[in-house]
Parts: sequence; C-alpha cells; structure tokens
Amino acid sequence: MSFTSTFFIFLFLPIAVLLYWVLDDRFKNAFLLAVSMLFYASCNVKMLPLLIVSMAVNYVFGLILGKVRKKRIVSLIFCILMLAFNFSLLFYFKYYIFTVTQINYVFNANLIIPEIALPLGISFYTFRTVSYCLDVMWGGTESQKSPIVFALYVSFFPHILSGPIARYNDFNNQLKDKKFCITTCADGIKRIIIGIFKKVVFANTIGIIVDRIVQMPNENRTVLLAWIGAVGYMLQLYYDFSGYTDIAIGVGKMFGIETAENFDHPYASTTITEYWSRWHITLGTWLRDYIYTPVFRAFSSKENSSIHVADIAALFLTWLFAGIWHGAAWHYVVYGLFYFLFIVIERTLEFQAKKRRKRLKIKKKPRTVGQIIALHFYCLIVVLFGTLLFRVDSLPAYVGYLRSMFSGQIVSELSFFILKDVWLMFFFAGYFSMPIVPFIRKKVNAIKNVFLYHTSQVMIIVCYVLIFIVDISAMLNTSYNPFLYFDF
Amino acid sequence: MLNKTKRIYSIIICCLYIIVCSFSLCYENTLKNVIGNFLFAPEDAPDLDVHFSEISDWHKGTFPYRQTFLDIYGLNMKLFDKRVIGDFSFFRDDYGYIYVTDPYPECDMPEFVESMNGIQQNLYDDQVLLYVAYPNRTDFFDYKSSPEVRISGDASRAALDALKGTSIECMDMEDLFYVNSFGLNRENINFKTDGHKTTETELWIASSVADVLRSKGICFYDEENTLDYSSYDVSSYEFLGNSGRNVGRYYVGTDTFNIYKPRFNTNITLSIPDSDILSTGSFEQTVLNGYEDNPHDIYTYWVTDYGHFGSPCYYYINNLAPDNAAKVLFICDSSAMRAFSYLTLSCKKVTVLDPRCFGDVPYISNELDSEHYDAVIVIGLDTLMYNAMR
Repeated sequence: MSFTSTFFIFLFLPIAVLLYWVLDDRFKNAFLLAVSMLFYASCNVKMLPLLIVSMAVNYVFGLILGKVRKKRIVSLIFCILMLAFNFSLLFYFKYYIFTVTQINYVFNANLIIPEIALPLGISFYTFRTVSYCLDVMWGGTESQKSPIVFALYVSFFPHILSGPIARYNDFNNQLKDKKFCITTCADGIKRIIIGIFKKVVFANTIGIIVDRIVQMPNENRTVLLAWIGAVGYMLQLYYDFSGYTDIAIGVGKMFGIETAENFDHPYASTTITEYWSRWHITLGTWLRDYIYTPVFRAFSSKENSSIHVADIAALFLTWLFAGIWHGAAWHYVVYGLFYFLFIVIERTLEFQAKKRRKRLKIKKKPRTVGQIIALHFYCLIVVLFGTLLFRVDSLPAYVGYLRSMFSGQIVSELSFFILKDVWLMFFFAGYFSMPIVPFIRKKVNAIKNVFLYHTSQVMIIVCYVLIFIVDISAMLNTSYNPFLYFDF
Repeated sequence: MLNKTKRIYSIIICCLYIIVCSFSLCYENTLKNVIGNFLFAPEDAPDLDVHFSEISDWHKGTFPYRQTFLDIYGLNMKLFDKRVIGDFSFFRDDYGYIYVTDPYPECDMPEFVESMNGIQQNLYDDQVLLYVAYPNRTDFFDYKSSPEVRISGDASRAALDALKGTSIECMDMEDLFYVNSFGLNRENINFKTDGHKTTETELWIASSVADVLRSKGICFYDEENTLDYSSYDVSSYEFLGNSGRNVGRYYVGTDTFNIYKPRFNTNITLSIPDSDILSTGSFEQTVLNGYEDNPHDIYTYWVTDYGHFGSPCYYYINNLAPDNAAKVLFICDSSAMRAFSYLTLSCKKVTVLDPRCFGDVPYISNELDSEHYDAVIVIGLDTLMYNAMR
C-alpha cells in the first residue's frame, strides 16, 4: 500500500486514526502495532516473519543488555552478538548477492548466485533496533519491558519503510499519557497534503523524464539532455524523499507522535558539511552517534594522536559505512567516499583558517554576497555529481553519463522538446526547495493586525484545499509512483 | 487568543478532511464494497499484499468524481506547461495535438513485408492487393520522433518505406493530400485528443481507395453519390479522444466529432462469422449502432464505435443495394473503421479482419480461400497490427 494512494489517504488512514483515538488508552499501542503489521503485510506479506523475528530477537537482546550493561565484558559479548545478528540479516538480504558476484568475478569462481528479495525497510528497522540496543548498553535508556511497545517502536508504520530513523527515547516518551490534540492532528493533515504534493506533482513528474534520459544509450544522450537529467534527478530525489518524510511525519502527528525532521532545505546549503546537516538528518545523526563519535573517541584517546587525524579517520569510516548502507554496489561506496573527500577538504580548510585566525588574532569575517553565491553554486555542483552516483546502476554507467554531460552532440530536437517540457517544473521545484515557505510562515505568524491575521489564515486554508485537490487529481492519474528510498 | 484561533482553524482543516473521507467512503458504497472484498475474500484470493494492491487499484478507479479530478490534473499540467504526460505515454506538441507514444516493440518490418508477399502470392491475377499509408501526423509539425520516443502511428509510414522496392501496390495518402484532399487541411485531418483520424479524413481515404481500385477495373456502386460529402447529413458532437481522456478536457480542449448519416437509402447486413450475431437494416441501424447509447458523454464516447456489433475483430458487412459491385477484404486496425464502413456503401461486401485478435491462426489465407475478393486492402496505425500480420 502506497502512502500516495487514495486507498491509504481516504480509507486506511482515517479509519485507523479514528479507531485509535476512540480506543481506551490500554489498547492504543496494541492497536497501533496491529495497524503497523497490517500495513507492512500489505506492502510485502512474505517479509513479515523476518520483521517479527528481528523484533523478537532484539527485544531479548535489549532485556539482556539492560541487565548486564554494568558488566563490561559480558555486555560487550552480547553487544557483539546483537550487532552480528542484525548486520548478518542485513548482509544476507542486502549484500550477499553482491559479495558472491564479486567473488565470482575476482576469483573466476562459479558460486551460485541466489535469488534474494530485499525486505522492505530492512536498512531502516535494523538501524532502529541497533540504536535501541546500543542506547540500552550505554545507559542512555532503560530496556523496554513491554514487547508491544518495543515492537511498535521498530515497526511503527509511517517510519518503517523509509524512516525517519526515530530514536527509541523520543518515541517511547510520546506513547505515555496520550491525549488527542486537534492542532497536532490538523498539522499532520497539512503536512500530508504538502508531502503528497511534493511526491506526486514534483517528484513523479520529473522522475518520468529523468528515467527516460538515464536509460538512454550514452551515444543518444546529448549534453543538454544529460544536464537536464542530472538536475532533474537532484530535484526528484529531494522531492521524493522529503515528500515521503512529510507524509510520514504527518501520519505520525495524526496518531499524536512527533517525529524528528529529516530535511531542512538542503539545497540552500553553502558547504557539503552543511548540506549533510540538512539532508537525511536522522541518518546523519545516527551515523554521528553510533559510528563517528565512538570511532573518533577511540582514535583521539590514543597517545600523541592528532584530533584532526582522528576526525578524518572517523569520517572515513562513517562515510564508507554510509555509502555501503545505501546499497550493495561499488558506486554506493564511491558515493560515500565522494562526500568524505569534500567534507575532509572543507574541514581541513576550515581547520587551517581557524589556525591562521588564531595566529593573527583576527575574527572571522562575515561572507560577502558574492562568496555566498559562489559557495552555494559549488555546493549544488558537488551535490549534483554526488547524487548522480545514486541514480546510475554502476560505475561504468556513471562514467558514461559524465562523458555525455561534457562531450558529444550538444542539442537535438528531443532535448529542446524535453527542455520545453521541464523548464517550468524545474523552476518551481527549485524555487520551493529553498526556504521560501518558512519565510512566508514566519511573516504570517508575525502579523499583529487581527483582520490581516485571520485573512491570511483563511488564505492558507484555501491554499491547502487547492493543493489537496491537485494531490487527489495527480494520485488518481499517476501510474508512475516509485519511492526511491524503498530500495535502500 | 492565538491558541484559540489556531484551534479553530485546526478544527476547520480536520472537518474538511473528515468530510472528504466520509464522502469517499459513502460514495457508491465504497466502504461496504471494500469490506465485502476484503473480509469476505474468496479462499483462493491472492496474498495479502496483492489483495491490498487490487483493492487500492479498484478504489482509485471508482473514486468519486474521478473524471473531474482528471480534468483538474490536465489543467495543472497545462499550468506547468507540461508536454510529457503519464509515464511517457502521451505528449503534446506546440500546436496542442496529443500524441501517443508507442509502448510496443519496434515494428518487425521484414516480417511484415514477408506477410504481404505471402498474401500477394495467394491472390489470383484479377485480385488487387493495396497497402494504404496514412498521412503522418508528426510530419506536419516541428517535432519528429526519435529512437527514444516512438510515436504510435509512425508504423504506417515505416511500413510504406519497407514496401518500397517490392511489387506490392502502395497508396500514400500524404502524397495525395497535396493533389486532392477534399478540402481537408492540416488542422481538420487529425483530432487533437485522439490518434484516430477525423471522419472527413476517413471518407476521403475511402473515396481515394475506390478511385484507385476503379482504375484497376474493379466496379463500385454509385460511388459518386455514396462517397460524396454532400450526400450526408452531419451531426457534430463534442469529443474527448483516447489520449485526451488521461488529461481531461482542459489540457488541450476538446475536439468535434462528426457523424455522417447518408441521405440516400441503405440496406446493410452485418454478421460475425461463427456466431449467430446478425444485424440488418439501414446504415444507421447496423453500422452506426455504437452511437445510439451514450452519444453525449464526452468521457465514454468513442470514435471507433462504427461497426461495433459484437466483435471488433472479424465481421462481414453486406450491402444489399448493389447487385454487382466489389468485394473487399480489409486487413486493418481501428483506425480504418469509418473508412471501410463508408466504402461498404459502394461495395457488395466488405470483410474486416483485425490481425491483433488472431494469434497464430492463418486467418487471412482462410478468408481468401473461402471467398473470392476483388481487392485486399491493408491499412493501420498500430505497431501491433503490423507485427501480428500472418
């Protein structure tokens, strides 16, 4: 069942929300768990047992780690077992085929390549279970005694397929003393409306063109088409994933559960470091807390070790992990290392500049408009080439695509036709990827005049109604409706 | 104060959502049907995920005011100046004409040429095989198809190119357009919202085919009258074609579809082989019967309803008026439905075969064995028709 299907929006969701708030508090969590299981089964019923096994085993690990966390060696052993279990599952379902293929290629072996379907959301729910167990071991939280609450944390249906990667503490605290709040519910509805718009109007419409361009043979792709495809994919990916996240957050709100934000206008960034603090934020914080920080601590605690070197080593492992997490292919590894490279360059330059300022005893100057524009351009270009690594099927395909961006026929009739088709959509998609809406919202909220305030609120409601009508019209028409992050 | 007003606006939003959901649940017993389909699913029902997917599709297909929403979708696409619609299924040119992109494999032209040669070998010397190529819609405008975007209908021109150099007689309507086009111009030869040709174009094709066949010595009945525009009463209807329906009435607007009803007396029999289906009466009663049910609903009104009497694939139309006129076998797709329908009025018998319906059955040779036709006409726009020729 897709979030952007009329069945979900007009049948499944309202009925689930209604029953949830009508039910007695004692049954709310169990009901929500049942709804989550039903939702997951409606997406892929065959993989439901795997999810249940993962939840059951991690529940037990959580209990054990909670009990033995003060015993260093024992807790370490159980932690290793827990990691081994979770990452074995992830490895088998996500990386086994890739590994066998590589062994066959390198050693000229003839190992049988099995057919293994990727369970929906496995990367996301594995991260949730691992973070919970680590939090329990490190004393960040108490282990959850209720299997229902734990299972609900892992499988909460708005988050299970593509995140956001919620933290256990944040989630668990919201399950207590739940009271229906009409404002939160309305915020949820508004968020869903915006999310669907992002997904079905921007992402899907642009995605159709991008798919066509990327799937073309390299020799048929003109320079103009290649650039349209690259820019289009950048926009598609953002609107696809942020649209999904908006719906997930909105649905969570309707059940009274606030979820961490995943995007903060990443394309408004001026550095790659800033970009990654605005893009897929919950993944970034997960990697920071569970990979970067422990590795950094381990390296920096060594005698005579430089903090900068420890930082780079931790960054390297973090980005290698991030790349591999996204998929079982070399281009994903390169994707991680690509961003690592730029972040290291930025950090080194910043480190040197800081040292220089300290030596000369001068303060950091604010950036000029020209500098901001140049940095913004730099960031967008780097992200464009980085994002493209996400879209292609392999490294040779990436090289082929890059070649068509810089060489060969520059334009053709088809490229002009496609340009005419997408220019307005690109313009609006680009415009709304900047922090325009928060700016308007801030201005509206600052209105003191009562009449103007009410007029603006009514206008906002009218806008939401119109957007919702457009959403429904696009949901009914669209046959092309992939969620890109379901593949990860 | 601020919290109170925020609450009021929140209540309005929630109420609006509840109203829309309630309406969609109650509309045509949606909830009852879903519960019926889901809870009381048959034992051999597919897996839960497949079942959900089917119900979801069903809900999408029966959504209240679906067509109005599709109109809004088209309007939205128009505002974004979008030319590519759906999963590259349709696109619009600068003149507001919608094209269908061909979802099928490329035409197997050598196979088609072989089939045509095979048909010709089956014919006697007094029988004529004629291939008719439609004027290409895309050539009229700036955009030409490329290997990445094949346009449905281009197969007709490709087939003409493939037949050049063979002994098969071809008739290129594009060439004829410059010589004698019955007053047709680039705008009224095609619909904006439909891949089929206008009725005027098909009458022109029928008349042109009759001219060519007559020059080969084949007799027709009163063709100067039966294939003349002025011998018909014209009824016009607003029409949204097969490509326009996906984007609604506001995307490029609607077309006008003209039905030509003969002023002269007609007596026709339409029958379907191997079945009891038989219809006898005037041209309106037998051939135009598809237009009697819903002539005014632009969303259900098809231009291909001509001759839709039970089967669109295989039927005989006998004209009872002439005693000694041509018998013609049409191997065609829906694009020629009106052309052969009008040609019937000058013929003794017209048989229609749509190759897409027969699989590997040697239907053409069977038909040629069972009846001595004066002419075999091959005409069509759909790639599948060319690939299915046997």
